Amino acid sequence: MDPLWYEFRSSPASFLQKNRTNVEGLVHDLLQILYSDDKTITLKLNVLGILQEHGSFLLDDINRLELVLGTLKNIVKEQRNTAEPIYMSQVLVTITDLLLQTQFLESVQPYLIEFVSMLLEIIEKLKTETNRLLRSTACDCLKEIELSIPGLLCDIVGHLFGMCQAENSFIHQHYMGLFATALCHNVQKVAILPNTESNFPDDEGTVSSSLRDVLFHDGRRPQVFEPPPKYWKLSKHIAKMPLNDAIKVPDSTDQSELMKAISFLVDHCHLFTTHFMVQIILKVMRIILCSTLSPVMLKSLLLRYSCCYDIQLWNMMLLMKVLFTEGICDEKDELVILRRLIIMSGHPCLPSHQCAIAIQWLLQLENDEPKQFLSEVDSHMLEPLQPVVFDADEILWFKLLTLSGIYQDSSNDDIITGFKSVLGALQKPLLCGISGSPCRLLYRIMLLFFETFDDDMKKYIERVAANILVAHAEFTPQSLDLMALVSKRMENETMSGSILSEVCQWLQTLEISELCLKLEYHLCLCTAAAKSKQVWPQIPLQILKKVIMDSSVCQEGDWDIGNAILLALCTLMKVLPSDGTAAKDLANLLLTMSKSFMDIDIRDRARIYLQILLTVSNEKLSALLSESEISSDLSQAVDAGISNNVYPISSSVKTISTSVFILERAEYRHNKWTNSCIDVDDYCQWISEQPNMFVLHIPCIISLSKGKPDWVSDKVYAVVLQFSSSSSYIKPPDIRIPSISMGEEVSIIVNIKAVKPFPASFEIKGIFTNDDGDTCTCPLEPIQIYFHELFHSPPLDNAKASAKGLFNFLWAKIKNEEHSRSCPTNEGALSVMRLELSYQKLHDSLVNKLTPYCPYLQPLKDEGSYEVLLFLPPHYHILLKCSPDDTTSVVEIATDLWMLLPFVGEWLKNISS
Amino acid sequence: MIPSVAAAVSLLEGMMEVLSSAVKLETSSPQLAELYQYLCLAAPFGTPNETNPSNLKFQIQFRKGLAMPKEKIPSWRPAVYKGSSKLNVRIKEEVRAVQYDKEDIEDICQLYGSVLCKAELEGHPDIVLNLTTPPDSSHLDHLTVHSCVQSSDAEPVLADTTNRHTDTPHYSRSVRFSAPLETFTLCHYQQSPALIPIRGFYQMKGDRTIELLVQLKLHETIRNNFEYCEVVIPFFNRGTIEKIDNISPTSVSLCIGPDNKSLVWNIGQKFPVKSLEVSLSVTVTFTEFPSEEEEERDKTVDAKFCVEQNSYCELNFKISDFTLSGCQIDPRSITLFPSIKYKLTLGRELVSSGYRIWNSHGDALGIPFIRNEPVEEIIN
Repeated sequence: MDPLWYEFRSSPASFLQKNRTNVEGLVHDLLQILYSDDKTITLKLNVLGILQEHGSFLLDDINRLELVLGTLKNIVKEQRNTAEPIYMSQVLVTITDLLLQTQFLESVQPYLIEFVSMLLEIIEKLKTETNRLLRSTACDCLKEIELSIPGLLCDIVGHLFGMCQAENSFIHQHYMGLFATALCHNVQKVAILPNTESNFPDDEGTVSSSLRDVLFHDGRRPQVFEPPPKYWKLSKHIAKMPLNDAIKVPDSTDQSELMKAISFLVDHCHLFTTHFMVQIILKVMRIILCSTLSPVMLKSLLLRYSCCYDIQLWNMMLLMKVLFTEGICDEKDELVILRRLIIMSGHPCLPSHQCAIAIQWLLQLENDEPKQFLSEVDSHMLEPLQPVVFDADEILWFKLLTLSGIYQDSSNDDIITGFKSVLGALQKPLLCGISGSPCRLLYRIMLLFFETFDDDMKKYIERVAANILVAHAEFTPQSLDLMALVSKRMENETMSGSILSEVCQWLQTLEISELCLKLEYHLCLCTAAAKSKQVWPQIPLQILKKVIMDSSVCQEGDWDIGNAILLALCTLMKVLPSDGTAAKDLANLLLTMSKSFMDIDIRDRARIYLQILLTVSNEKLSALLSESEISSDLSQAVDAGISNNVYPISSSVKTISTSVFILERAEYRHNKWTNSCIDVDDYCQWISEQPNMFVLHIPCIISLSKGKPDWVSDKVYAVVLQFSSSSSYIKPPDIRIPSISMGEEVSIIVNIKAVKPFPASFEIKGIFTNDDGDTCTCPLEPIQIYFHELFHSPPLDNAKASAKGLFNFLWAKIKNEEHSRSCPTNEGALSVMRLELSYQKLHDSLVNKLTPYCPYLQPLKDEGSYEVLLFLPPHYHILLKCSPDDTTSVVEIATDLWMLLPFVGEWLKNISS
Repeated sequence: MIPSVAAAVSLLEGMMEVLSSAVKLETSSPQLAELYQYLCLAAPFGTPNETNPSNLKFQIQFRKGLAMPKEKIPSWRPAVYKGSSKLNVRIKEEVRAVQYDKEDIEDICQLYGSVLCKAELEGHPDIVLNLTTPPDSSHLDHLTVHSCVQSSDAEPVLADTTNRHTDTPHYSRSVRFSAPLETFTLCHYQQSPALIPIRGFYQMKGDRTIELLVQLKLHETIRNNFEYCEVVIPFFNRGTIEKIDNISPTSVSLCIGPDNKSLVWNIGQKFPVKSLEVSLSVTVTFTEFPSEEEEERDKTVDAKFCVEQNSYCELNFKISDFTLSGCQIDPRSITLFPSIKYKLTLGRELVSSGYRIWNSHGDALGIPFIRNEPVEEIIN
């Protein structure tokens, strides 16, 4: 594939810029490639692809478009008999594409008509034109044009029919496809003409003769193709027609010839490939819907292909059955199709999605039919719908959905028992604690059966749900969802009441250690039980009492558990009477929580609830939480758990995109060592004792910017500077400044802990309070740590003499470890760089750049080389040996941290530039 | 909507076929140029048109002086076959079964098959063939056919011909079709109820050391000549196999699976001729129970369900020149219109596909139907 293709496709504009050309030049180049004899067919196809894909970009000028269209047409005319068939066919496709997609469609209409003539000329040469690909593509192009401008070929439908009859090679389906499309539009035209206002000149006589005359003629067409009058307007009307029988041709229209044409298409359907068959049958169905012809002529197709396993054809047949509800099948045929549909729904050879579609079709047909036919068929016929162990979850669901619909009113105990046994089997994975798809399936089926069957089944489902909860409390959310759905959709509270009371009674029997195993789920159940009117409130209260008094939840202080307990207690407050032992128990529990729960938030809330319980009467509380208009919000709040995260976060923080502050770096001063080493051994000892981090103290000055938004006051309070993190540095701590006034400069020191001495940049976010109390946040200029700021002078006595020794020691050490590879933890490396800088200039630059940072720099030597020793805290070094080489300098680099090399290289390059 | 989705899928399949010869795709791969050409032809205006790559390849070839056929030829068979005519029809039957050894769950066996056909025939003849089954077996049911099938018997009919070997009457289903050049599936069928070809029992007990017994009995009507027959016994949630002892009979071919978590018992080509029964008894010791992380790795429902005594073994077998349904193609029934000389090759085979036997001492996954199964009593 040519790179041109990729480059241009990814970004046309940057491609033009890169190749220093413009659209005009590129189009000329592309056309030249198409005309060229020495270019490969692949390249030419790619060029045509570019024209198709980027026609709107490349040909946004009418002159350029006309140039391209003219050139492409000439290519067809000149090279049609010699060029590769695929190339010629793609030229036709490209012209069609450009004509139909252009914004200048009205301007290029003459080109379009001329091109249609050319295409017709190609497809007419049935016997002489042996290039079948070219002819088939020409048919496809005409079909595409007809689909875009419906009705354009109306007047030559008969001519197309003649060609369909004459073409016997395998490309006949392309002719048929074109003919079916044009015929369909012609019939639609005839159907809509009487329904439109006087937009068209045709009179009744023309209408009635349209089908008869246009279809069947003497087999010739006029020398020059002429579009029908007002075809633009007509095409818009045709395009809007829906796929139903709302608009039909007038009864007076002679349709005998139309029937012949449709019979011709139907008779040859078996010769088409699947796609063409589907397309042509769709057109035929549309024609029949528009005409008054009987769909019975499609019966043979329906019966033949409804047992076909090809999903496209099979769907088409079912669509046919749905569209023509009457008149296509008698009762016997209906039964055959139904049987086949049932067979498809459970056929082990078919992919599960096809089986699922078959069942959905069954359900669709069952809903469409006035009578429920599935319930009347022989039970033996329904055998494929029986669920089996091999069924995928989706198929099982659809099968049970269908069967429950069929047997919903059945009084046969065996069948109901069968459904129960399915539920019993499906619960097994859940009883083993398996979640996921088996769980989803079972709960869906439980809801389905609960809605479908009678009380006996409902009780059974309640028992299954309770069993699952008892075995695995992890399924509590699903069970609660099921109960909520049942009570919402069926207004049935008994299910939740019965399940909850059964499970809560079981919870009461548990030892505290067992109860605490899955406490979060049990507490959810207690809350649900407290809400339910079907459960006696004392039961959840006793469970909560056991949990609070007998377990260590208060000592552990888990907020989530505390919140769940409070939620349940709060719910009980609504339903328990305010006097009596239950209220005392409730108050005691809240008191215990408020005193002994380790989490302060839970303690506070328990105290508040206790206060409410003690001060607000039960009637008032109930009224507050359940009756008044305000109470619905409050009730929801209580239901959702007060102070948990369902409350919306306050949006009081204002984000400012521009900086309110100016942060400037003050002069950076290097750390001074408190001690100095007398020799290399002493230095090595000192280095080994250094911590793994080194603190850089960066002095800065912060002030309020004059460019701040006007609404920000001239004095801001509680300023907090937050720094981003970096992989080589510990995140700097926040800096807090009580206030900053306009014009005031506040000095701060940013303490940054370096783990590795690499240059870095720290993003800064400022948070402050405006004088109106709003909290605001804004970005600040980032703080940069430059490489040279990390250079330090080693703490040496008698610097020059000691430094020389240290340099030699370190150089030898790094070189040794590098060469011997004996040290597995070695991080050192050696490197060499050549700098385009004279020896003298390099030395001067180094002296100039390095002196402020006090490093060791050996003076110029007589023999022509000098050395530099840089120390980078906490314990790394960079050693440079610089020597002259004509007009350039060679720098040998040694470092005990190889990752520093790229920074050294960059720094040296900066010096030399 | 659905036809469009199916057309898009067939386009993707065509693209895969075009790219199938590429070992590694790079921008310079010739297959990419081929793919582009394919897309130009298969979807010239963006929507899929003709998507069969071999048909499209045939279309590209430009032949001068190509004569127009006298009759319309199928578009799905553009090329004309040149050479000696051959017709190859093969029945591939698959059986899947689940055996529980439980009173409250019925064993299930599903039998289904496909008839695969490759017709390299001169011209475009119509082919008629009969699928026959013996009268004592269930009829072939649930026939779904390829789109090239012109007609097929909706219901089986008593065939005129009789079986050459047994002289017993056969039920047959006639299928008339005109075949494409490539290999295709002529039809799928199903037979129910199906006979369980190998009845099995699997008994396993134990914890870190387990004792297991597998007993298999071949049905007397099944051809006792396997291409292969083996039993795989997987162990979930038990760690790896440390050792296997007490193998009985000692002559069995038993090995530990590559993951050290299963046993593979190779039964060989034949069951004992007299008894048609084989059995295996073995003691398996596991290293240690797997960590929670290891357990998490076993994500399938089966693997999660197979704790404690819940377990199963699986049979893999293949029998050539045999179908469980008795389905065969009567060679005398094959007729070609117009008649031509051709070489006929018929074949049939039975293979297992998910043939599972659950441990009698454990629980099992299954979907019983129309059976009164009480819910497990946990509460009381």
